[in-house]
Amino acid sequence: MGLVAALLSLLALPGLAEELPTAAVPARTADRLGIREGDVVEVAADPGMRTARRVRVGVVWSPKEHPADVARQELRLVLRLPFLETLTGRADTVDRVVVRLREGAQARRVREDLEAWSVGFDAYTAEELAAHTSRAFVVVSRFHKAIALVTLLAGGIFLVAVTGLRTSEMRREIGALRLVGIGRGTLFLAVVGIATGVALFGTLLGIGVGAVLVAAINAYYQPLFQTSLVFAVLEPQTVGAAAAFSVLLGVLSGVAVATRLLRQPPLEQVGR
Amino acid sequence: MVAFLALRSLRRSPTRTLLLLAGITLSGSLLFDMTMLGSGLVESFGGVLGRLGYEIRVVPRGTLPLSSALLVPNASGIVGEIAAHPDVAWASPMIATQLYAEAGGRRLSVVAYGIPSRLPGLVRTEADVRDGAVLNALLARELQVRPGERIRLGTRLSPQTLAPEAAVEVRVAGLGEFPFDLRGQRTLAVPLSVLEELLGTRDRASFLVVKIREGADPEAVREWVNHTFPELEALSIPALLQAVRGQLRYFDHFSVILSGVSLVVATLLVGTVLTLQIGERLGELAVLRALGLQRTRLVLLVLLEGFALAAASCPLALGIGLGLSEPLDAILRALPGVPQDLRFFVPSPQAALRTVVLLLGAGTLGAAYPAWVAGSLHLASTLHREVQG
Repeated sequence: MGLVAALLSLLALPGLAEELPTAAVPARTADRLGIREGDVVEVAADPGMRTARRVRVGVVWSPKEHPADVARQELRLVLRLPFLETLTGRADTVDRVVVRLREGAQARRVREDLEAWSVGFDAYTAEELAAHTSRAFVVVSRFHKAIALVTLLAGGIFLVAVTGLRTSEMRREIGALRLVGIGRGTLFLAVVGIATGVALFGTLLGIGVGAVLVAAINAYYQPLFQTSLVFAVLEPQTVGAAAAFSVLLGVLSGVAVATRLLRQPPLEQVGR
Repeated sequence: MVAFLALRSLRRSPTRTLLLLAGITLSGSLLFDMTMLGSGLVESFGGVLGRLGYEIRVVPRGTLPLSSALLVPNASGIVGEIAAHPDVAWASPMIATQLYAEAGGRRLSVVAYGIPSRLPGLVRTEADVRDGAVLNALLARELQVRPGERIRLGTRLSPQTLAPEAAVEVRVAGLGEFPFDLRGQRTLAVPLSVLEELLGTRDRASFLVVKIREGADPEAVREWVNHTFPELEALSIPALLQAVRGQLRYFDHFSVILSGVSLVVATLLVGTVLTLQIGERLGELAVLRALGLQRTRLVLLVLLEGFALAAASCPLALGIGLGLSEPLDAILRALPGVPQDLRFFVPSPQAALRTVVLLLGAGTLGAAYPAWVAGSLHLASTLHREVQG
């Protein structure tokens, strides 16, 4: 099993005053390896464990998770920097350096100064790094929106077909009502109202199904990835957009059907 | 006769039929896209791997190629043992690492491959890697160098002098394309011996590549390597695809869910519209029964209507799906960490066939309930009701 990523930390960890070097272990890694606080494990930088060193698990904790890490399922250990340098044989070499600025300092300007050194490293402000690491989610969100557009179109056609057919079935009733003197305007509004009602009812059902699916998605993926991150959320703006779209389609299909129905002679509609 | 009646029934209300076709077509195009997405990335990745010119890569156990800084120790000894296997044509170590490349006062970090000379598939170039360094276009542009000029490659920078602790000068042999380049990645390839000397890592490798003899079974060699070198892991192309598939689970699940949704929409659309239509055609169906049309043929008539609707939608669904897959692929390829040569949506005859079969199934299934309604029609009472008006 490869300990692919080991994070470096200079923070004081509980339980470091043991005779063995200590490691902090994220709960997910501890679960996968079946280890607990106080256990002694061997770590090495080579797959044959030839350079293995013993470390004691100082603490098992649940770090704040980043969605990008969840799918990778990497195992992580946090070790003291000098110990890791010795273990890997990479003295005075780091993957990254974090810089804490003085109060009032401008991060962007410091970054520009660091880049001006041109010694072969890239510098990022915290905001830039956050934007960089969340880029995958921005792309996935764009993809979801594109798919949602196609789904909405298919759903829209479904809605128009159903409301259209449902109101067309009222042909005889409309003819009879016109013969007994009910005005065209009243009937027009009634047909549009029914189509809108069907659309609204469908929307409510859809929101219900959506809520069940959201719960099912989270119930499936959270244990699968051993995370408390939420995978699907039913947001008010999503509900609002879906409702507005379906009501609009309902009204439009109602108008189309009502116009067509009221254009036919009433006697023809009642089959005479 | 049944086919004639089914087509006539669909032609009777053209607006309704067109609306139905549009709905099934859109659902079908989404289904086709999701079928392509489900298998596309793995197929595309498999295609790139297949063109590299070797079948097996050997990595430190538990890692994937290019995913870790771990090195394979005693590389030459292991390579010698593997190359002696009767099914192996040749084996070679490979190094992949981060270096600095300098030219004209510019210094850039680059991904460097030390590749054996007999591995042409790793870089698409007209130049010979044995003549020096092959650069990707981005690196050549940013360093402002051309073939024939010289660049300096350096390792880690000294904290005191900020100069590389070890450096070597190489000639730019030419430009090339690397199949696993990420967006914005600067890459170069040099002969393996150059990188070994620069890094001082003689006898250590990032991974080993193994070419199998024609007709030999790569899986047998893979199992033999895994058994003989327990600290290493041999990955054949299917094994690597399996490992990668695990990391692409999101797209697998997404395509399954969306395929399901589009099939449900198509089935419901056919089912709802045909059910409402049957309600309007009860008199006609009762007359057909009275004229001697068997109950089973009446059921077949409605099922055929659903099937015909789905069949008529198929060509357009495949065409629209193919058209939509281009912009969707462009969106997903903007994901960070995705090699430029890979595609998410790969059209294939299998994907098209699967879409057609599923869509025809959805159309026929959608017609099942209205067919049952038509089949259970009570002749006398229906005719009586129709005559009464």
